[in-house]
Amino acid sequence: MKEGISSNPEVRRTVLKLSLAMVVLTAIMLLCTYFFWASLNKSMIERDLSIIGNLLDKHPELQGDILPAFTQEGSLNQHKKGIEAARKFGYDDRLPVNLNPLADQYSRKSYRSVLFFCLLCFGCILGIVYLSFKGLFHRVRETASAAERIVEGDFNSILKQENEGDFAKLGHQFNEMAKRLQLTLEEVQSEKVFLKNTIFDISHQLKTPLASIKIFNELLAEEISEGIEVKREFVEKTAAQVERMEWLIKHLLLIAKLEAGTVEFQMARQSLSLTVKEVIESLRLRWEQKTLEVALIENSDIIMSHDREWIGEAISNILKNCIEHTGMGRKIEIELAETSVMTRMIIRDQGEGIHKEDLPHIFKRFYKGRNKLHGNGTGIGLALAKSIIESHAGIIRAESVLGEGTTFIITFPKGVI
Amino acid sequence: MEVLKTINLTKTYGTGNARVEALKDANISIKQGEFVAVVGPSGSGKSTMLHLLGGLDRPTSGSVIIDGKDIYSLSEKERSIFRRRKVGFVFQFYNLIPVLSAEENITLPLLLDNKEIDKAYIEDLIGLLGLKGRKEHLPNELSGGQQQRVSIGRALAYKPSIVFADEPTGNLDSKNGREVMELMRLSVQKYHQTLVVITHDLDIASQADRIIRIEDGMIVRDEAVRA
Repeated sequence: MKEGISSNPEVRRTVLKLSLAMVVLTAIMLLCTYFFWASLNKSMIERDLSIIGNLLDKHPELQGDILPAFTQEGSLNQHKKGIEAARKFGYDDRLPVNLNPLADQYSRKSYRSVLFFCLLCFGCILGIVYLSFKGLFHRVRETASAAERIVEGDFNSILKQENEGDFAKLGHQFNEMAKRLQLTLEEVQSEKVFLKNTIFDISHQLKTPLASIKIFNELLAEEISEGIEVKREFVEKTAAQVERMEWLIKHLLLIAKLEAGTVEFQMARQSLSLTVKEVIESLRLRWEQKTLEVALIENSDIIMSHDREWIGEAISNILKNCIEHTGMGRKIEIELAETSVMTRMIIRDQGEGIHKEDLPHIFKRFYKGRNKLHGNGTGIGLALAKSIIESHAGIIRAESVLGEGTTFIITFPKGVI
Repeated sequence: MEVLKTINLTKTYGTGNARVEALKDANISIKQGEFVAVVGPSGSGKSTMLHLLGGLDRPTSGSVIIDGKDIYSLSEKERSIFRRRKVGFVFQFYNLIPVLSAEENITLPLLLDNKEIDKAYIEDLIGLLGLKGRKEHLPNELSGGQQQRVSIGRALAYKPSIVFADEPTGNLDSKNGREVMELMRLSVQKYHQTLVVITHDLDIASQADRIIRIEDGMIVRDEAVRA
């Protein structure tokens, strides 16, 4: 949809001004022409009247012939006679304008008015063109100085945009660009703060198991004479801490990769149900230990384009969270459903639920709610799940009722992945 | 970053005994990317507030500032252009143009502004809304849910700063309603937009980042429920 520039108010204003000027100038021109001819007419009549008076004065008897000679057209013969008679006095149609008093007077008048009129036209057009260029360049300068202010970090300069035409559109896009810049800058700022906190959190997270390992090692070294049972206990404890550190580092790396956008997803249209089933199987030991029942509810096999490994990782993290927070002998349900536009996965547990004040934060890295009793959580699993789901263009949200359980709802749009 | 702010926004109808205060001194601030639900009983002033926020009405006093601009300092004509470029609306009754196809309805705001169409974006949007196979259909050949999806597309076509939705699921069954809500959430997340939804459906409100509750024209609660 391309269109001309005629919808621009600047163009319209200029065209309007030019048209108005032309109307006024034409009117002036017509008036001048009218007065010029009126005046010439008058002068011609007066000259004729003087001639009549002059002739009558000398030949009063010719009154009957002189007057009709001025009012009636003469014959061709009379015309020739006239030419011959006048030529003797040097008066014929080759007489230069400047020697004919009447023509001389009026030609001067007409040259003057044509010159004056041309100057007037020129002045008008010059003025209008100058004014419209001034308007245009004023807006260009406005845009330039707004851009300059933005470079200096002042995002409050807003260009006028509530109008038709290309300048208003430029203003609008300029403002949008400034807004996006400001937003990005703010994001970078908060990322910086977040990074600082994250480094603090990570070192904290690693410090605790490291300290434990150190103590166990020292104890092992000191109590060299202790029995094999005690030693084995220490080694097992150390191994558990090492495992915890390993898990933490692995998942942090996954998040870092995801957020840096360096992950290449192996997208394939495949059964989502199978992905879920594989996850349930891989966690069998965990949920069987707690005598939980994990049920998959689905009407039909759901095919969705996804990376099995990554989506599996996301589901696994959510499911682990559910297993951890659900009491012995209870049930966890995973429901899969699809509509024409989206695929939905609902993971429902009958656990202790999440406090209302914690709910908004559970997908944040290292967030630990009021439920600090369970020491195992690192606050990484759900954050990782969210990152994976969002990089599949999906959304995840959680609903929870304290004492009744938590529901995670994951939605993937079909059209874009 | 703040995209919308109101200062003592007030709207009264009628005078004397018939005077009704539809909205009294509302002060709210909405951040970029937020999903805000406005709830309250019918007649509480929700729709009045949404219309004022979107520049569809005129406040009795107070101001609405969108992207740093007081929208009621603009002339009527300027405000209508502002609406076209800055805000998107989704209504309960879709308000589609019956003689235009789904795709034409979606691109209408761009055509009105003689703006060049960002084809890739529109294709992406149509895909997200699940309307790929329905582009050429007229509104009366579409189901209610599909029509509402078209109107979401129309609201997003100009990449507005804010999308206002007035009971977007009010005319749909619960399954379609949920789908429409989730699509709105997905699209505002994908295109970094801000969403303000009026609803009396608490299930929908519970999905929001923030819930503003209005009763008798007053904001009685304004709390973040999600981050």
